[in-house]
Amino acid sequence: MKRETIVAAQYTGRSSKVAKCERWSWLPEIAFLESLSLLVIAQACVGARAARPSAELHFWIGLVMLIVPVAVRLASAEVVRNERIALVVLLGMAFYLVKVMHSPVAFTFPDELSHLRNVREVLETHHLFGENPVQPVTALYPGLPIVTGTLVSLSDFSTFSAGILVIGAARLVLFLALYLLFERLSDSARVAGLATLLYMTNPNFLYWTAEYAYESLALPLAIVVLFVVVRRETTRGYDRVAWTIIALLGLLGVVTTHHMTSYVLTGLLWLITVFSIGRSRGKQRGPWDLAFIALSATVAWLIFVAHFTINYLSPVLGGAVRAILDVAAREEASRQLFKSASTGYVAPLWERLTAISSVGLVALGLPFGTFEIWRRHRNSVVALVLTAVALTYFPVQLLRLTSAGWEVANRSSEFLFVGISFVLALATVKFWLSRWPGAISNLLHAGFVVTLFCGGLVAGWPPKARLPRPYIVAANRHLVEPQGVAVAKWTLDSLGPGHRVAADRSSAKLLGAYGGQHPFTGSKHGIEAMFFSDNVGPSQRNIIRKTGVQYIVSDRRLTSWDHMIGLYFFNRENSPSWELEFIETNISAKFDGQKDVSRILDSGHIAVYDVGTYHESPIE
Amino acid sequence: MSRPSNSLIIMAAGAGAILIMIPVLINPSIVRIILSLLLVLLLPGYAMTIILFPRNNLSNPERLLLSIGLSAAVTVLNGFILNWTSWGLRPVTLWFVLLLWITLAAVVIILFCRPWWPRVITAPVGLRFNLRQWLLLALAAPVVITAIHVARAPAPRQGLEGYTLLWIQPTDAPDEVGLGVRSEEFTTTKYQIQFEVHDVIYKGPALELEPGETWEGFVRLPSDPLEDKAVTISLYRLDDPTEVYRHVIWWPGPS
Repeated sequence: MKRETIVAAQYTGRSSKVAKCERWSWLPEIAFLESLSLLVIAQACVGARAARPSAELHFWIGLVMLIVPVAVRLASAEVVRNERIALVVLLGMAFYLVKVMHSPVAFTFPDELSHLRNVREVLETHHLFGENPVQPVTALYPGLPIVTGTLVSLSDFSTFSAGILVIGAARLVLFLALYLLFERLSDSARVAGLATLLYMTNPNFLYWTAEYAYESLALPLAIVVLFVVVRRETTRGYDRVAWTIIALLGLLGVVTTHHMTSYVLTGLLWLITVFSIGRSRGKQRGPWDLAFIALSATVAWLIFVAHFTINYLSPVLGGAVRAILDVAAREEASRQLFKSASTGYVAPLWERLTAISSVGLVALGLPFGTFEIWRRHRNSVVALVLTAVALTYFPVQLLRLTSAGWEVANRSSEFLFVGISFVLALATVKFWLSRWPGAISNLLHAGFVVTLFCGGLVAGWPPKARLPRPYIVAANRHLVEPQGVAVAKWTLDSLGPGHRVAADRSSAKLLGAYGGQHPFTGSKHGIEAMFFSDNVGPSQRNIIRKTGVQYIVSDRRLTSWDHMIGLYFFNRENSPSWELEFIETNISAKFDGQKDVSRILDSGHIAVYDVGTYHESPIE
Repeated sequence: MSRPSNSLIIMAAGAGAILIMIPVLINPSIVRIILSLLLVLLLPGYAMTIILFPRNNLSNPERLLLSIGLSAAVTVLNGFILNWTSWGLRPVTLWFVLLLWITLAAVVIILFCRPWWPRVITAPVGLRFNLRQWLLLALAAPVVITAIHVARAPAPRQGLEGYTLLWIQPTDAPDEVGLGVRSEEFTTTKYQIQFEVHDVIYKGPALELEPGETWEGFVRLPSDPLEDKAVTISLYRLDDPTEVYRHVIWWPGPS
């Protein structure tokens, strides 16, 4: 406890003893271990691209190697503040490199391709709010393309390199902001370090919030605003104005970068305000000014700029609510956990056990953390609000049992874990690590964090996309990209940009990102039905006419309709059988026999048809 | 608050001018890349922290956090401002706005005298590593770079297939079509083009393409009218000449 006192003294500014004890004891050793872990994961990536069965084992071993040294060290009381900050930043950035090594030469996640289109629009038109036919809502939140586009314009970086750097900087902001927020709330560097570590166990941490997408930038800015709200509480006069200016700039960044993050941040600011007013019986108003501005800015943005967001979000959120009601009324069979509806893949036993254990451990820790907050931190309104956020974990998990609601449950974890990680860290420090200090306890704590992390990853990211897949192949001195990428680039070079093209889901992403085309895909407008019909009749021609489609890109691989994996090479020798399935020829090549429909490109799996002549006749 | 001397203002103006000249003189270079990164991801926010907190009451982690976070927010703000102008977000306007921002910030810092500003960019105190620890840190960096290099290695060819693109395009001449073949095979490949018109097969050019190589040419079609008849162009690989490898179909007319 003596060391803890010294650390706390350092934090609160009483620094007479601090200089003597401020060392970075194990940082170099742990940094070296982290680098070796990354090497193991790099080998796993190489193995995964070669479809080696051992790749997955190496991947998990590498992740465990990354977590354990940091978790053990952070659990110890004998660590000073600077080392704790360095450790959480080190581990966080190492995790980001895992994502970078997953896709080291190009953006390959579906959402990344949508955002690539936005940057392309900014760079080509020099203006914002360009068209994004693949994911229209993303074009209405141009924060990310502004920052990336600026970096590309100034430095001549490729969009990929600039995107990696921007998200890397955002990750650094996230870790620092979380640490400083938790430190302010708990008055403990140890709790802050552990809470930031526990945040990294959220199911969306490794890939989802590290991909090149708008939320990856908005979430760190939102945490900065929360930190500023807490920091501002203790200041007066000029300093308070300064913190308010910072909060306003952060708010501007969040509102113009990501819809859901701005709504969550606005909600949190209002919760803090209402709690403050309620607890002090009106004597304190909390961050009412920021809450008011956040609400005004969010609503104004929604009404005047991004009203399409309502169409975008309402099916997801509405579906989740309906699903809950249906399950409650026993009208919908609950979703089977750990089983893919599309492929029938069932997660192995150890994955299921780990995922269930992680949920169980969170459920076990939350009551203890809540009790500790009530005991020692109930004077902090922000701590109470974060506890309330953490406690919504239980009802939200029920959504995972529904087909329509699991996405909401999964997507909410990066927000819920801001509260969960804080509450769990308090619980582990006060009821575990302080009562049973020592190496064994620290090791057990590392096991606890590993279980949470692995369980989160199993629950949050599909197994088929967890490890990298073959994206480029060396052919002499030339690098061969997947067919879909080559075809998309061909459409831009040979047909020019801006054509309406019907395509499978994977090709649509690539045509939007690399081809500059206006793709149509999915069930909307009947595109998917048109693709899977075995003839070209009036119904199919009418779909083409109504959508104004000029070209059809037909990929005969069934996996092309799965945009998580459809764009990669597939391995004929080692892929699972469902990945090797082809669409029947009479369906995929049905346009071959059509009069006046030219088959203008053939790449083997993909054919491009010119259906422009259909528009010369009226709708049948 | 003491007034800055004229020499300080002249120095600041000179520094601003040099900053503006650098990207003009060095295009593109490592200096430009570093300068761009600083201008977009660090300096605007850092300057703001100096201006907003005159009593230097931020800790190093707080200053680093705010420097990066505010820089991103300021860049977004700049983007919106430029978007409302007719020039938009062009390299020239972006350089101008960001450099103007930094120059103004520098002037404010000097005018209102924040003499402590260089101190806050020093390394954190207490970096007392022994030789072994410095060696480990020095080793960690190349190991990480090696890991990324290893992860960037292209996938091995085993089990994967290369491919070839064959395409057809109209030309200005009615009896001529443009053809293209691009090899994305893993080895050098020989091809033979054939085309079929009115059930008659004509032999086209033979090709040999390296991986990544493209051939483009024209095929003159028979002079007979092609109404209601399609032209089929087939591509064969000479290592398997019996099977059509790729084919495209061309309907003359408006399409």
